[in-house]
Amino acid sequence: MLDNLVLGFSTALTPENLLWCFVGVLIGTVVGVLPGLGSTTGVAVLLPLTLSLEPVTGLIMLAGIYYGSQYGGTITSVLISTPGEASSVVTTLDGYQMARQGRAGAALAISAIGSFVAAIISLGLLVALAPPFARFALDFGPPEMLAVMILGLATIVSFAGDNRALGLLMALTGLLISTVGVEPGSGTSRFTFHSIYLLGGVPFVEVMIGLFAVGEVLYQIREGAAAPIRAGFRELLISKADLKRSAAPILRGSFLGFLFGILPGAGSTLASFMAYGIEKRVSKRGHEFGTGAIEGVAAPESANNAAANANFVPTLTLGIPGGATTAVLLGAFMINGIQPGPLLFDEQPALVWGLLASFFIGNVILLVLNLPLAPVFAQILRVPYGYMYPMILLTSLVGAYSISNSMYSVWVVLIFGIIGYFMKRLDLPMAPLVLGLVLGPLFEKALVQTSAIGDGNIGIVFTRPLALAVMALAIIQIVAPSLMARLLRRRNSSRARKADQAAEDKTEEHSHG
Amino acid sequence: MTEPSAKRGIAVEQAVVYGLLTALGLFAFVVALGYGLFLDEFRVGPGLVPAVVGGLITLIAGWELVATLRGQRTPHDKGLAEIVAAAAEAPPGGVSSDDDLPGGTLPSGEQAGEGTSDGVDIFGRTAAMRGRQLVIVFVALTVSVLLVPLLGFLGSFFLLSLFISAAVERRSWISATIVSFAAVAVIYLVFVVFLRVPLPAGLIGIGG
Repeated sequence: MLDNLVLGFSTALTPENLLWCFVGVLIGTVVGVLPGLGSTTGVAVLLPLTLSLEPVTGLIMLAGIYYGSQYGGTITSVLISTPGEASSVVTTLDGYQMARQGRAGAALAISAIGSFVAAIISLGLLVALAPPFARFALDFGPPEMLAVMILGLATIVSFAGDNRALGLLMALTGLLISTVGVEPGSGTSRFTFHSIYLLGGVPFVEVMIGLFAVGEVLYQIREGAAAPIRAGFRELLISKADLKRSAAPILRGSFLGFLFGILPGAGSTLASFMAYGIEKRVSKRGHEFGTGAIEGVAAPESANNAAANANFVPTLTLGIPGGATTAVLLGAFMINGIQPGPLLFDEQPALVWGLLASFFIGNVILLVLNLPLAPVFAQILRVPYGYMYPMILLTSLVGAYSISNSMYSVWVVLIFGIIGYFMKRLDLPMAPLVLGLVLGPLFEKALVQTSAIGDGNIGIVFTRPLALAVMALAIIQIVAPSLMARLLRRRNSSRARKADQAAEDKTEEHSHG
Repeated sequence: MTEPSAKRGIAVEQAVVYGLLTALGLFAFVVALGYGLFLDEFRVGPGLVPAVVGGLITLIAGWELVATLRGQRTPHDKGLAEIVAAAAEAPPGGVSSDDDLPGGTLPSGEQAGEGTSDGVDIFGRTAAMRGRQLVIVFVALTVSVLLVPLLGFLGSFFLLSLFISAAVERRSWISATIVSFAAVAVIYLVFVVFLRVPLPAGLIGIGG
């Protein structure tokens, strides 16, 4: 364990890796600040740029973009109530109220501190848990992997959008796209229409650039430009009282975020929502939530950062991405010829531990950058989108070309750009499609192997206890939201009744007094 | 968003997309049958996954298509995240009667600018103008990719950037030229000089 950490830090602390880690977190912060640009877009657009770097260096930079954007997304949530990242949506509730009360500095500081503490806690957990988990996963046979992949798809379907039927539809579409090309088992070429390009399948990095970069740009053009920002700053200092109030929420948010992030398929967005919801219930100041309570910033901001790190547990140990951004990162591994999975920790110790060590370093850089410089980053918002999107388009197309030096990639990006636009416009969730596309070949391989083990009987999945347990979890994922909704509705209505009662009592008291 | 025409526009697009997906699923299903669903002893064959997936797509997309055609907005049964958010937004005791509670109902990914999606944006463009702009940008994008064999990558993307900046974003020709030139120069430095990507030079041989 200690050897591994030493190995990791000696890898991450080389001048080159340090430089690219810094570049990654800096770009990540900027990407997080810009509302039209999410971490998934950022990683997808910049992925081709890292191909000439050493794999570990490239991955350090791309991962830096991912967790850096969790810091940056907060800045706009607090200052202008416009989340730069989906995982910072819930921060707008209290963060923006704090900014209106002239406490923007405190809100930004606590979210930077909370994010940092969460990062360190979750990294500690990640470092402690990932290797034993990988060892445990070594015993996974095809039936278990099949079950875990179904769990991943079920999770993303139930959490990605607000409509599970559409989520499922998109996951299936992703799976279908992944079947294009030569089937490795039998050599049958499927859906290739005699095109030599399609024989190799639909390349998924290009699909992601199309969906998340070009599609996003087209959608933003249609939506129109948001007003430029005038962010004023009064107080940058955070008081001791604020820190004291936030300590417990930060800790709760960190552990909760880690728990949610570790689920394959659940991204950091879900974690931040859950942390806010639960903190509201647990906290003594729960009634102040929504009016600028610092706990309402601290908890979700810690949770989304913890979840972003925890996402790497399934990604690294099982090769099953935790969310859309880690799916793109998985693409970065694969394009470098590295297959994440239980064997990764044994085969590429320098890469894994170097990457994990770089998270520590990156988070320290982010804390140092964000505490004093958050208002400076906010100035990026003054750059109008009209200046930015031609650049994003050009970089996407040239980047796509450079992946395989072929115009075919450029056309794939263009086609999936228009598909991505319509998906955004019609509220069709993208994350399930991407996950389906990435998992498709692995899913089919596991299915074929499972049926071979069972001599043609896929039902063998149900005779393996571990696989059965994971499948049960997957089914709960799909059914739970309906049950939860019913439960919450009932609870809310009874609560509202009680509250009315209390209000009535109060007014009576007042009238008596 | 409240304009009925805009709503109907979305519904039409929805119907078209669901229709296409239904057709795609059905096509995949039929073609996949030809690949062979099972090998010997009922082992999974090359056609099984695409056939099952295609069949399911047909069912779900077909269901959504029928629902859209019958005038139902898709029932948005909320996911867990939204439910928790909704529960958090309806505070017990009604403390935050503050009516400018910001962005409380923002679904993830959407921006505050969304509220003005049918209105005029800061550059005084209406929704219809932005729709036209979108089409222009997309056509320009396609044309510039088609022009690559002739003008080369850098040449045609210089024109694309120039066109978008000057014609779509209405910046002055001078600043558009400078910005486009700078953008192409940066791309040249990063991709050609630094990453050594052999960008296609085209017939005229600009860049590459």
